[in-house]
Amino acid sequence: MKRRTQLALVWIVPPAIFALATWHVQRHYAMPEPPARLDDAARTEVVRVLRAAIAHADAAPKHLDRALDDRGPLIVTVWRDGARAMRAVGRGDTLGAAVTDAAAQLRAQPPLPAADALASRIEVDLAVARAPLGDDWVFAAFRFPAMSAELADTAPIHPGLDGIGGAGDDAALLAPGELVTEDMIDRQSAVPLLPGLTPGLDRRKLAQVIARPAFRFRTDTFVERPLATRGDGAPIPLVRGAPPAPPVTAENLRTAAENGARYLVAHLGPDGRYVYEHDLASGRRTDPRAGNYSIPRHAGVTYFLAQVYRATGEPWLREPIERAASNLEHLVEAGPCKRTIDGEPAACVYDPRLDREGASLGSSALTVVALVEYERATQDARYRPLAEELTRWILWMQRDDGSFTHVYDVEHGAKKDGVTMLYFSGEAALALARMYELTHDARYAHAAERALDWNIAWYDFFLGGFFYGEEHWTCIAAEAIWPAVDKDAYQDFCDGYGAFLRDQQAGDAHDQEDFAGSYNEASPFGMPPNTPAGSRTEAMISAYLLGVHRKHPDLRIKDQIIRAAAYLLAQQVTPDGDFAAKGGDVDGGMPGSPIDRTVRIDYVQHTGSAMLRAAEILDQSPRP
Amino acid sequence: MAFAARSRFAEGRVIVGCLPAFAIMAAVGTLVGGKRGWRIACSGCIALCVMAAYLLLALCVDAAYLAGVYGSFGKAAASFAIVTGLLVIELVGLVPALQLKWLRSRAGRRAFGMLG
Repeated sequence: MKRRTQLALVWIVPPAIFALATWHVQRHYAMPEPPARLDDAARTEVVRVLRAAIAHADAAPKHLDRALDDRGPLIVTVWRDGARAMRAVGRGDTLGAAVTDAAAQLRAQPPLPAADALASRIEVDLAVARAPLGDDWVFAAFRFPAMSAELADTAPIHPGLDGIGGAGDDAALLAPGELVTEDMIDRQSAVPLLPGLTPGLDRRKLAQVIARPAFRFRTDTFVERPLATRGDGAPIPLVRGAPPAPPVTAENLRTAAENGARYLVAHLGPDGRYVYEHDLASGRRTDPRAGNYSIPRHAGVTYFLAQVYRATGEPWLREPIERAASNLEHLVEAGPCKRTIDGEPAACVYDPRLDREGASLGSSALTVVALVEYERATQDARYRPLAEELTRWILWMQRDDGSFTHVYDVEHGAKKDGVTMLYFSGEAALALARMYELTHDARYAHAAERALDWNIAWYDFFLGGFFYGEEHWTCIAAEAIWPAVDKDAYQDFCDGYGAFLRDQQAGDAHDQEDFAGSYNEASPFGMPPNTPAGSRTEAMISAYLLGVHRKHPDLRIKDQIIRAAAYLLAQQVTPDGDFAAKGGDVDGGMPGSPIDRTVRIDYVQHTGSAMLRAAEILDQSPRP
Repeated sequence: MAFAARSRFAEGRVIVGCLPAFAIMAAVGTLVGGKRGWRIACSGCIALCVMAAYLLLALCVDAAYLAGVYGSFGKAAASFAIVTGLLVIELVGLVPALQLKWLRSRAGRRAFGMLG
């Protein structure tokens, strides 16, 4: 063989093999394009027949002639208070036949009490396309340890959109939402060699329901409206379990923020501590007095409630804010770091049960932010002395170069210089900026300036030009301290942060249009968490407003904010979408991601604050 | 690469922009051939090797800085900087170094029509 031919083979054969393999995998595994979704009339008719069946009445389907590949199936779930009250799987050559089959199965089940039947909601998952799981011969033929089997369980499943069916016509099926609520699709680090590829299928749990998983399927899913609005229109089409988002208007954003505040108030205990986490799938709530908790997040949430109070003046907010603030006040009073600095009292927020490392700067800084926001909202200066004590401690923790010691060693009564935490420097800068806004004490402005200068100059090294850390508090502080401190460097930094984040913001890619506006925190292959869409939007709002104040607004950031706000509106739990949420008082909550059904208090805080402030941007209103 | 890896510092943009520029220079020299082409190709490869050395130095300094000033997060970021350094050896330094070795060999000079 000539040398030239050998060279050509070396260059052509390997790429050709890879191209063929890619083509085969795509052709074999890609989910076929589903048909158009059922229209309002068809959805209404399906639910009419099924509702009659729940009441043990007969109703023949009309005009449901659409042919079904693979005889559907059609999964019907009847929800009551977030729990499955009835379930049926109908099969048939046409939609009407599958509905009739499902209705017959519902009639065969014990009837629900009349009140429960009326208030229940019917969810329908119609399988409209199917494709293999990733465990057939192609993956079996090319096994790599810690890669092949795990990858096969992770890559093909589109979480929240794909269900799984077993072999055989009567085998069990799990609808996309069931895989999520039963926690079968939330296995983190499913592929050890590809940590960013999450989540993965939990085969162990799946095997308890489906003995021989055989295929995955895409569904056209819809749910009956809640009883109060049942007459307002057709059943609601769902995407990944969520109803369509309301339009992005200032009014809708404010309402959503207010609903977030209602959720938090409903999750505030009598002692002023929040229910830290609420699992919507199980209804499990954490105990506010024990278990997992975070004081910085407690303070941040209280700050958000005060923001809503300032924006809306709703009287039901004031007492809960004071209750939550009193809890912080109690921690300060009982805390060990009360001291006198330059003849004036200083203190920190410290929870001996939680703060194992020592008293954290973040707890005190966000408490100051919350207390200042309370005073801005109410004009009530009752917490001013406490805020000043805490700020004195924050100033004491600031080093000469503007940076901060992040932890105070309570046991030895000394600053703990070796520990550096995310967020705390930005939070401290914001606390100082807010205190300056309130008191016009130049010491606070100067300290905030030194803190911001240090935070921004921290990136002054070669790699620092290519990335940003979690700088949302920094940009919020940079806007908060304007015009007392007005520097090009702050705007450049925050506009650059906006560009950096825009590169991570999801567009409306095929099959995942519902992710548009979200931020992929770690990997484009994972589910976008909802909190960054909130916290980063809070920062972007400040970045945009800083530009407005300085007469050079970046309009790309405004678009970025609106896209994220649209995403957040769609993710919030609303009466239309709460049919599978247990535990009560769930509306206004913000789950961890489109498939993570846990609501933590800071998810609601960041996203609620972002929506509230985005409303201001849409109003084009001047800074209050 | 120059478009994908954007730095907000001019220095960073220049360095990243130089990498494809020098690679193109070496490629053009190889295509042109002859003594002039050989010199252009050698210059491009030497410049890339220098850039690789500079980047390695900058990344080592960055790793030390990150590990020193930012606690456990900094140590993780320092590991990232070291991994980036290893990638720089592979993606920026290796090919021009081998190409330069070949260019300076008899086979390389002959391929450029510089011997006989």
